[in-house]
Amino acid sequence: MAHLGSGALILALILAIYGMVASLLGARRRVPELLQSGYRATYAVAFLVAVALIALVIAFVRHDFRLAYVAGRSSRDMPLHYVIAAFYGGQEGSLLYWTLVASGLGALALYLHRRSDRTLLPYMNATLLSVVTFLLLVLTVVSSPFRLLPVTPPDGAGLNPLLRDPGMMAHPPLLLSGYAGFTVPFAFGMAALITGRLGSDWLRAIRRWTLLAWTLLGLGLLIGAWWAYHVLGWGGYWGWDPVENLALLPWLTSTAFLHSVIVQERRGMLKVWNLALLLATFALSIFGTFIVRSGMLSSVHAFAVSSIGHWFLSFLALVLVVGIGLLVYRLPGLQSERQIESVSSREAGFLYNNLLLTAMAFAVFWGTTFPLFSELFWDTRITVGPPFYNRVVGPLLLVLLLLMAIGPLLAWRRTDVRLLLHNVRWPAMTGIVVGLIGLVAFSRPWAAAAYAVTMIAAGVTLQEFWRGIQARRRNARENVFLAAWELLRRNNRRYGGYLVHLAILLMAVGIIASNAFQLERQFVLRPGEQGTIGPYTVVYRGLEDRRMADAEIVAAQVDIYRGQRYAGTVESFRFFYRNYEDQPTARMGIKLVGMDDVYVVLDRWQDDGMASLRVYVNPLVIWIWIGGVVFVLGTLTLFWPQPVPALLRVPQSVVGATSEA
Amino acid sequence: MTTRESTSTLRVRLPALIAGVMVLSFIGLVAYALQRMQGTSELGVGGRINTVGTLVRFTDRAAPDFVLPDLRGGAAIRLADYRGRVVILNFWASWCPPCREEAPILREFARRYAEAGVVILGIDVWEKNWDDGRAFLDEFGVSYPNAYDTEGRVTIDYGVSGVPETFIVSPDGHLLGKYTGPVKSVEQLIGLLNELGIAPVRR
Amino acid sequence: MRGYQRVSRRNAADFKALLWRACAVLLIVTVAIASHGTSAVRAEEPLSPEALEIANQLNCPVCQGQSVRDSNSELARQMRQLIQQKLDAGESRDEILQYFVQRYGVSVLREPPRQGYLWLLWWGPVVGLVIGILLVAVYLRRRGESSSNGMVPVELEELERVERLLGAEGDAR
Repeated sequence: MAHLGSGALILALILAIYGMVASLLGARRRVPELLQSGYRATYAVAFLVAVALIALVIAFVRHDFRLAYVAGRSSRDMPLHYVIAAFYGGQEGSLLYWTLVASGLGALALYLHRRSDRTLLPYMNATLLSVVTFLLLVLTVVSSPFRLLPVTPPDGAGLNPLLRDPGMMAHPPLLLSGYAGFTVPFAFGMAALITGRLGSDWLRAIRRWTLLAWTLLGLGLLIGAWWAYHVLGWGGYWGWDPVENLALLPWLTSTAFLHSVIVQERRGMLKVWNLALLLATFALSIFGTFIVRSGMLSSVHAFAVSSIGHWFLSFLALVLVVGIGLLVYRLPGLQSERQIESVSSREAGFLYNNLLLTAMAFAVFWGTTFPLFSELFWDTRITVGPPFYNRVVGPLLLVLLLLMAIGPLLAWRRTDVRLLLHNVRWPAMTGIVVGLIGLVAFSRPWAAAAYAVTMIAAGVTLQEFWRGIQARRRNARENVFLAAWELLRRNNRRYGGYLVHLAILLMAVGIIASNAFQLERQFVLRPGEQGTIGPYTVVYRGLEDRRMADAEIVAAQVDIYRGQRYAGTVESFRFFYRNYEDQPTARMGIKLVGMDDVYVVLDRWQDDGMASLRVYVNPLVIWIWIGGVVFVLGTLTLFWPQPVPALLRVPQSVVGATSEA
Repeated sequence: MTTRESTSTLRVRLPALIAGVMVLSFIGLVAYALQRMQGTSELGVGGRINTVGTLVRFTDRAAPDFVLPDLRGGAAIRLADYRGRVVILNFWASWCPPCREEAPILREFARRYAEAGVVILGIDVWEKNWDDGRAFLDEFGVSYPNAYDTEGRVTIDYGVSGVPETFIVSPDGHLLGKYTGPVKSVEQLIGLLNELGIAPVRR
Repeated sequence: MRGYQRVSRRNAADFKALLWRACAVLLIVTVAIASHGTSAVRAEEPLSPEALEIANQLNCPVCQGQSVRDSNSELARQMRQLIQQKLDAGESRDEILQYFVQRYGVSVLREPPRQGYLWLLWWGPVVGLVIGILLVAVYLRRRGESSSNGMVPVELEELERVERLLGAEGDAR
């Protein structure tokens, strides 16, 4: 298996280099056969990388501990699903997975666009293959997953205990797919720059690919948050850890891109800006990997620090030099076709949206990288923790939510302000009432303001849905459900987008509540003793020792009462995995009571059963996960195949609020 | 005409050029930081392990006094009792590999410079079981005094963030400096003392 | 050797105090021996919400990106206890934070202080936002002017650009 795997990788590397050269030569000399062979090289590369990956997975399943990578990350007593998941549990395997996603999606894109974007494809292919070449070079030269051990150990070391969690099955593959997925839109963008075909035809090609990567990355982040919530025991889901931040950055910039690309499609503006966002998104995903792998920033994710940092940094520099160079070279051809006519137009709204999203990304980037420079210039080590980000990003998020309330009501070119005010009156009144009630009831001005804004935005979004449904009911005589269905199906880009907005707003409900109204208590209890936190009483019942094939478990059982009423029992676990007995991991006991999460952390204990417990009450966190489900529904709507391309149906200049986003 | 066009394209390109230069100089700085970065510590079983040391000097900082139980069960150890001598205060733990490398060197230093007005005091920290610490002393035949810090008060008072960490206390009870990592040889330790203005003499 | 003599002279003078100290030491030793072996939850005081809040302000020095409140390491546990003891002894939040900063450096704070060069950290995002707003404002203004003042004669350069773009657009569609 090892020879098959490493052979496949070397062959893939050679083919990738060949395909890159063939595409470039074929395009310059206009040799269709050469181009064709370049495309086939990409298909072959994707196939070979898949072969290598399958070989690695088989090695894991068969416990082939001759491979250093397998021996270092799995053991015989691990359950099968973790043994399989362990293949992306380290640097080599995750890079291999990344390479597979990049080359696989690239091959798919080549196939799907084979007829529509012929002029772009050769350069798109060359860019794609250059990225893949870099990854394969790293995989074969410095960081091969198929390196053999001189002596075969009888059993492996097992996976890092922190990774043995259901979250492992979804978070890393989704996040890595998101990172890798940005390669395709980046390759299309570079192709557009190289060919100089900077009309909007390339946008059609890349919007969906960006959307795909963006969705995967978003889901990866969300599942990462859920993982952190039930494992890391700080009662939260987002710790502003450097690695989390670095994964958030490309998501923020691609969110900005997905909005501003609409302006370019509809009005032919912001071309330079969109290309810059695309380049930044890809560069940030490389930068994130670089930081994680070089171990430059202290993080809970620092599992595998290694020397490939230099490789990634050099590659990043190359990407930026070529990308920025091409952008500057093509600048004169990238002037806007039209101009913004009013500061209260929809295109201006998208501009504000981009301003806020990039400001947010900049703030996060600044806070995350500042410790590096603090040490370099002032020789002082500092930590930039959650308080900084909450303070800096919080207000920006609030304004962004406000914009989310107004944005959908803005018309292209120019908005009638009176009409806008008329349209926003009901949501605004609801929001203000909610805010005032919140202010009086809880006397937390920030939370009240945040809820008011969230309410207005939700009101406006729902109102848009309602209007669309009413219009369909009138015109097509459909019932409410059919009308809603048809609305999403036929107008998926607009209403799918609104669904995503609703998802974000639902998450905001949970985020604001859990930040403003979290309760926290610590108790040292003997079995049978109890403590109270807010309206809840926790009764500590005692410890239980359990055994799994690969771990010993200590479980603390806690009954939860709300007032006098029994609400349920939770178990908070500590796991001691074999070979990692000194790194116990945890799973929190979380019980949803009404809208509150009662969250129990087992900190320390004694043989006689006395234990130190931390208990949190996290209100409304459940809405974050409900928002996650709506997010999935929204993005599925966005991917719905459209019967006729929207661009062909919509007339060139549309006036009025009913235009489609 | 051509000049006019070229200046206008330059004007168009200038902002992007500036942004590009800024981005690339950022990458350059990161590369420089990466070059300078060296792993000086790693996460160990019971805490952080210092693998590569640097000497940090202190000016005008009194060494916090302490009274700690003797690891071998002897009389309590008090820093102030060693006034008048240079004290090398070594924080260690039995599970820390660099501490194991360092122990024979410290033992050798203590033997050679016993009469030179320099004493070594060991403080065992962050143990699961203090018997491990005693076994460590037996294993390396350490004879200089060793205390243990159950509640971590002294460890925190000295701001210890990894083991081994070695503080050098002047005869009048001031902190001269600390070395955050394992001492590799007796000569190196003497060199460190010399840097802090102490010249121990063998008698 | 001067320091040594001074110390011993003082000790001789305070012999009584030394006796008391010896008793205290004995007590500490017995307590330590009694609690030795088990990791003593028993000896641990429950932390007040205030202590937890302070612990959450501090970065665990031996961990990777965890706060003292959340870390399970020995040092973090000891720091939590120390915070509680200091609170019980009547020290304020700021005094306690200051105590840790003096010993562990400014990196022990999860929220960097607003002082010295660290103002750069705090103002950086604001400066970024302001620059962004200015850029957007300039962009909107320039566009607004050139479109609203339709009567202003078009510059030759501008005209050429429009023609070129129209040509490009014609090609694209």
